[in-house]
Amino acid sequence: MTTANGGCGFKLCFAGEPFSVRDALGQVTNWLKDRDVCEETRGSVELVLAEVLNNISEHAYRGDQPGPVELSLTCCPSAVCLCLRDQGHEMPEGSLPSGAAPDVNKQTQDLPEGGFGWFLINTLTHDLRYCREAGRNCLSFKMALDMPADTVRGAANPPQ
Amino acid sequence: MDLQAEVRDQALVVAVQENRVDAAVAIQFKDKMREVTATPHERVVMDLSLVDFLDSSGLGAVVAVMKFLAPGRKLELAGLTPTVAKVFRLTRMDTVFTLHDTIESAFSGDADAA
Repeated sequence: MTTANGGCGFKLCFAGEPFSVRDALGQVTNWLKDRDVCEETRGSVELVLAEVLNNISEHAYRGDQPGPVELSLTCCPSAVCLCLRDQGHEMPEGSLPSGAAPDVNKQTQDLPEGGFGWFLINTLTHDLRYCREAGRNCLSFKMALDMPADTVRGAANPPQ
Repeated sequence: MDLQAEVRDQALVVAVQENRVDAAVAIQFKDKMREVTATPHERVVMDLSLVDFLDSSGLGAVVAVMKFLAPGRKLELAGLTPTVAKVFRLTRMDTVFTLHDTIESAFSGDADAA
């Protein structure tokens, strides 16, 4: 895993497989904690990133050798902007899944065990965008933050 | 995957001794739950108070446990931490499971919502 720090934000590059994903999530959470972001917000950021990264490891790199994932986090006023890039397979039909909430009003044996990931991502983010560029998937989104104002001012100098 | 099972008031209590139930361990979690719940107890209460992170894979695994215990046995959940409770609330799975604030309240006779 490589890390580049600078300004208000950072970049990570790691393998798209579950244990590297855990490690990356830990780094993002610690970064937010160091900037006094509250536990609830940290939990939401970690959850959304986990869902996006699980999708990359399970679907974009499905059954293949886990490829590289780039995560960049930058500060915007009252929000963090996150961007994930991978070199895996394109999203089905080249666009984001609908992210509709699975129906849980069912008999026990018919309850859904999956399909919640994109629903959670849609619910907890805004400005969610997906594009395919030069053989790479690029997903970006924003999440509202309660970060102190002096930290956010560092957004004028985002990392390269 | 460390799951500690003990019998309390004719119910089986399974305490999840892990901080995370996520995509990395969801399958192990299901397999180990199947092992530790191989008892005749009809009521199974899962203590999640040490789990501070659960993603949709972890949620799917908990639902799978409920399904393999049914129809004869019931899974209840206790001690959801804030981020875990949020996943249940957003997905409306909080309407599917009986939730208890703490493992103590699961045995106090009062139904409560986490």
